[in-house]
Amino acid sequence: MLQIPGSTRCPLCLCVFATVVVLLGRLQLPGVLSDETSNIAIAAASDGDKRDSITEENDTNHEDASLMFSSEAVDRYRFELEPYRVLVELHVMTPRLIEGKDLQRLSAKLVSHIHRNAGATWSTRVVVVDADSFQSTDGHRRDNGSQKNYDKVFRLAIGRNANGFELTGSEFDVPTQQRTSEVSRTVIAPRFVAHELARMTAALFRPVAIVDTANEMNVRIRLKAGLIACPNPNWNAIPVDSYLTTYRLYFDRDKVIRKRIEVPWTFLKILKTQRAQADCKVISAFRAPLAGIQRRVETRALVATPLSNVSELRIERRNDRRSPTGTLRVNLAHSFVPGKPVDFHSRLVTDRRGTQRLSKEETPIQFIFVYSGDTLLARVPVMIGLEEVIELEVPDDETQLSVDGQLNQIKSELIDIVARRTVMIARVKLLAKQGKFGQLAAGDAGGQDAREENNVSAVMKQIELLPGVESFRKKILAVRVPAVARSESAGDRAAVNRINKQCDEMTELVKRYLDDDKLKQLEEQVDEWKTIDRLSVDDPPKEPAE
Amino acid sequence: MTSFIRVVLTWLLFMSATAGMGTISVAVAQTNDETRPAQQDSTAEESSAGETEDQPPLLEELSTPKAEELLKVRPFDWMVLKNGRVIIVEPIKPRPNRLEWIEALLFNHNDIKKKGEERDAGDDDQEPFDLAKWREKRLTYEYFDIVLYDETGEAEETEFRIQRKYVEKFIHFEDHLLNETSRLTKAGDLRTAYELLVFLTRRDTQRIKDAKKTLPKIAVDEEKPFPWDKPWPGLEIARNDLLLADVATLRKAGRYEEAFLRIEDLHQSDAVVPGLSRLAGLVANEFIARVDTAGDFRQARFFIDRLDKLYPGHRISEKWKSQYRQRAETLRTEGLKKFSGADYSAGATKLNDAYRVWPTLPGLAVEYRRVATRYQVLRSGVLSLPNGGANEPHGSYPFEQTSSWRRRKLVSRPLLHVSYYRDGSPRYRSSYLEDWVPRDLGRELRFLLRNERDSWESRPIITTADVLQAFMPALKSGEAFDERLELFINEIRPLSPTEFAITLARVPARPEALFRVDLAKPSDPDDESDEQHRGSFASFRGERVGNDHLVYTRLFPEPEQLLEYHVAEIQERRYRSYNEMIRGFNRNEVDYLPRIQVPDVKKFREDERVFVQPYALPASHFLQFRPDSPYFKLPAVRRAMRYAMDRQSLLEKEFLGVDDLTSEAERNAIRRANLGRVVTAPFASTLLGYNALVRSTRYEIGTATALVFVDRERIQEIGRPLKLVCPNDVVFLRAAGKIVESWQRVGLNAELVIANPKKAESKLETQETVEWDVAYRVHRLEDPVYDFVSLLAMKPNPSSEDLRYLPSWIVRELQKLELVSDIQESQEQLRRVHEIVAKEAILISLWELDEFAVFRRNIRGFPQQLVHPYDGIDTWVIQPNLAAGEF
Repeated sequence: MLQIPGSTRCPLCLCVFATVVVLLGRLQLPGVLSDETSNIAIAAASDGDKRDSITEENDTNHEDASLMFSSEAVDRYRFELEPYRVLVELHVMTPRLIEGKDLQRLSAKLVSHIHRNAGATWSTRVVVVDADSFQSTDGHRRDNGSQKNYDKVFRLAIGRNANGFELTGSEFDVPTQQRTSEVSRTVIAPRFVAHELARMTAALFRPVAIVDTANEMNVRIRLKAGLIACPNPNWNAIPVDSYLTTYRLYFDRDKVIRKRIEVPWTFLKILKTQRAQADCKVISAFRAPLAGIQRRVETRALVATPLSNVSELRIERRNDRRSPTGTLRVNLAHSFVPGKPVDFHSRLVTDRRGTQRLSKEETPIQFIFVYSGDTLLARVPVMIGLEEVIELEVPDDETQLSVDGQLNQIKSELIDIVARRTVMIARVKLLAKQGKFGQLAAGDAGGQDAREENNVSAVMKQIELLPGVESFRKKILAVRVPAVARSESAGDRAAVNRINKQCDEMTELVKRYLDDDKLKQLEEQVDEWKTIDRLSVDDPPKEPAE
Repeated sequence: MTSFIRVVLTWLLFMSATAGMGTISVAVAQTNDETRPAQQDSTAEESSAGETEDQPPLLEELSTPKAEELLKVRPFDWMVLKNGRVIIVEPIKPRPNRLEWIEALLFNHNDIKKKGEERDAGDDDQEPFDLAKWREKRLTYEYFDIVLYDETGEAEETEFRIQRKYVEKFIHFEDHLLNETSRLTKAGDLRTAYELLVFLTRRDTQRIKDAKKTLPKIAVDEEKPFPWDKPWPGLEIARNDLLLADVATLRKAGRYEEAFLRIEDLHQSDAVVPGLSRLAGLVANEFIARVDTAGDFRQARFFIDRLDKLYPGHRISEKWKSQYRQRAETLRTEGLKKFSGADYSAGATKLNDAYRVWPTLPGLAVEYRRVATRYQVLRSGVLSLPNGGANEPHGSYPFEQTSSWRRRKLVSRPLLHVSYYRDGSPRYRSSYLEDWVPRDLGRELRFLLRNERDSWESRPIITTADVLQAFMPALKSGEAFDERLELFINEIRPLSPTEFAITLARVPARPEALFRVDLAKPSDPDDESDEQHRGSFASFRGERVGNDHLVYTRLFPEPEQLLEYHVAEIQERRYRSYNEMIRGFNRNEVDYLPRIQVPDVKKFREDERVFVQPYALPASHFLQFRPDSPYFKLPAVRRAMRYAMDRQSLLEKEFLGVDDLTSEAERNAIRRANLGRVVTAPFASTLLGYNALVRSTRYEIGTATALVFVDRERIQEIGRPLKLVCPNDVVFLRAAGKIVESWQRVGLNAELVIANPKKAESKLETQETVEWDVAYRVHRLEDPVYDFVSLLAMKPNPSSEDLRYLPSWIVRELQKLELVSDIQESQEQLRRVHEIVAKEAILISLWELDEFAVFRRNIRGFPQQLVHPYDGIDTWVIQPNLAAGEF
């Protein structure tokens, strides 16, 4: 049985109700369902005892709707046919600002405004609450017991500031336990308060949908109360290109919600709407976050409306949330297509606490890429302004950074050695050209004395003393073994592969630039020149080949 | 020409032969246009002997040789014959007045003959008079030995003799010089005239010296020598004329000091110069008037003394003396009046002025001492001054310069500051805190503020509210936000007006380093009231007085009736050069030199008039890259730059002055003194965190060249030279120039950019900075564990964003350095960071130099080791330096 919204004693309300009923009578179900619904006798679920009136005194005035559905259809389209059960909690922050009859009048006007827009899609109850409920921002959850019969709870507060009346409010979705951030507005005159509160309610209201079918990239959703006509078509509508966040609700056998989990880093983008249904594209950090059907699990979606222009990104380590992650590079892109280069429009760095303030961009969804050095730690889509704080967990990058640093130092050393060796080889050739072959003194290990000797033998000895391939291989091994062991013990397979790859590349680099064969070749050449020099004492030595 | 001379010589020979007097010779005459014999036209030789054009020129035909000729040609004399013709000969000796001397000799000789004949007639026992011998000797007086010049201008080997009776007179080379000098003096070409005069004087000195050698011989022979050891006749007159002309010119040009020097020279000469006293008075008067206007009374007094020495009781000197005495008296009276009215600053200034004007005024010294003891002024000699203002620009140099650092340290008032170093670690103290106690294992710190102030302290008594207000800007977003402080501080809790607690989110290794919050720094530079309020927390306030003076005044004067007072005012005087500054110190213009160069340390240490105090930390010299410079992104080039520099050699040559020392022993001594060292870190090697195991890069020009070659393509892509910016200091600039040269040697296109403070001063608003890639920096990191990150980020309160130019793994190591909570671990981590930064050439460390300040012995109360130039200035005592001429 449909509830008669508004006061049935009021002729105006009766007229409104009659209009709703007429509209409902004309209502057509979505195309795919049209055949099935053509013969439906409208018989609203007889849960009138659970419905609340919009005011306390109208609680008992329930009437059945004249249009009836078949019970099968009603079961199937229960979600689309059920109106939102809405509780509006009103609180006057400033003492004696609005009292008594004024407050009652304000409540009535607010109900009237809401009803004029929401029509039968909302079953609204307005209550005036005391200050205690407003003391904590987590008040929604504390009042869970009294709120369980509602789908949405709006908390509206009226206060006074220098410019007039300050109105603040937030919305709480009871099944998913999700609360919007608080918004506030100011009106100058008292007569605008009710109207502005209604507008605020509309702005805060997040329509709810249920995920019907889902595959990897696309899902179809059904809109709550989507089959109920609404006087204001924008009130309960989800326009194309808007976004939704998703939640998994786990029910028990008694159909009571036992667990709620937000599907992280996942958004639905509305591609096409038709009546109470909509086709969406999945934007997620995961491959198929909504695929798969489980018993007694329902996937709900809430329209995501950013109420702020900024969000704080807080990056934490997965295994050690207390210690700060330090500076990480955070790059932002408007879109991301796997396998294609990403065009970053912002390159930021987190502060010492691992936080970064993100500002709203042109496109609502932004892809965040978190890097530690060259390693990508996370790539997630976010909607800036939807939440005050976006918390992102990343794997521990300590080992990876340590490897990066050590390999970098080895590389620097390698470049120096290669440069030095090149110079020495050139020097050997020059000295050979001048016929200064010389002989190294016995027992001279090629230290300072050898360095000062200006002949081929001395310089050759210096070249031999330079660190070679084996020396570098040992250094790389000293980096690889402990790092791989640490990553394996942490169960980070990706890190193990990455470290092995980096070390292999470095080994290849060493082999390429410190090839011992070149040195042997040079030694042979020197021997050759020496022989020529010995044989032709009078002749100038042959010019060494380049 | 030559043929004619030979004809003349033949004729003279014939005449001599007939007279029985042997052979004679004749010199070569020259015409006006043939000054040098070497330049004679060879065709003249072919002309016939009887031709008139080949005869020596007449004296009238010859013109006086010009200065240019006289200075170039070989010296010559004109021998004027009786017939009016002139023969040019090599200068005859001895001279001048050769003819007159011979006349005198002949007179004597005739007298000898007469006496001999008389004696022969009267006394037979004596040896008879030898007439033949007499005649032979007389004959020698009849001739001149002369040397002619040949065609090449060289003296001929054959020496000729000419009979005296044919010679009318000699015009000597010196006479030509004198004539030309006089002519030039009259013409106003004093420079050339001086040149000739110097030439003549040198030549005359040599002549006198030669004459003194030969004179005794002549004297013995001739019994009546001629006075050849006297200066050339007319030389002194010419000199005096020239000096007088020069005085007139210099006076006209306003170069009074030089003009007076000439007058002193004239005064010393034997000749009486008429009107010299008047001229001296005029010059002195004009000069004194000028320096008087400029306030340079020292110079004025010096000139008065000089004039007095020349002409005691001169009218001009007496006039100025009287004027200065009167002025000093007036200033003294005014000063004492101010002083008795407790306006010590004005009183001391007046007395100081009086002392500057006329220090010998009776009784002034005693009063000056009394006032200077009550209101003590430290006079400090510096090479640069900050540009002024709280947010002063540092010229076009992108970093804080020494002058600004000096000012910041003097003006700022941190809650905690480094007081001294022990065992290689900084130790902190606070003038505001009675105590600070860690609680809850260091997670909470309780601070107890001092609610009283010592008489000598120049600081306000602050409350908890003031401290909280100083902390707030650092903890809330804005320009002064300190990300690091925000990370550590959880809560600041006021407990009472004099007590507050800080709860820390994490425990730092040395919490004191975190709380070096400057209480005197305004949170909002645009907020005047805040600036005034914060300014009241400073100990001294600076005010620019003219271009070369900066005066800092104590903000909290000391109370009355104290037994001892301390520095009330600091006067920084800027000198244009280091040498001028040292001269100023030696002239007592300043009492304190905040920094002297290393080569002068030994000299000052040996000077008993001064104390030489070392600074607690040496100054680290290093090169820092601009983060967004394309050259910084080339690691091989960074290392090449390091390999290309011979740092040890540069240090010794440019800073230790080893090259200026002559002996090897001195060089070794200065090396052993170890006042400068090549280092690998941008902080003091004496600190614990310095990693001694990091080896200094060798000077390897070959490796450097090869490394530049590695990145040659990317260097070409940059398409502009690498620019090294350097502070405007002569020594630093010289070193930086050498560094650039060494880079150029390895194929790196580099240039030196000079940061010009004058340019910045004229553009205070725009603060135009120069484009640069690498900066030559001189810095002193007080606590490297905390300051190293700031140094790399180039900001006092670095954010993570400021470090993003560094690789992530280095940033992580820097973060560990900040977050480590154990002192030993922090030192370990600092050593690790030092190693990384050195190996990766993030900075290129050059060397460190021990720094020294010089105090005159009338200053006391300064610390044994200075952390900064005005360390503990509140406690310094300046005794009046009565030897001080002036400031």
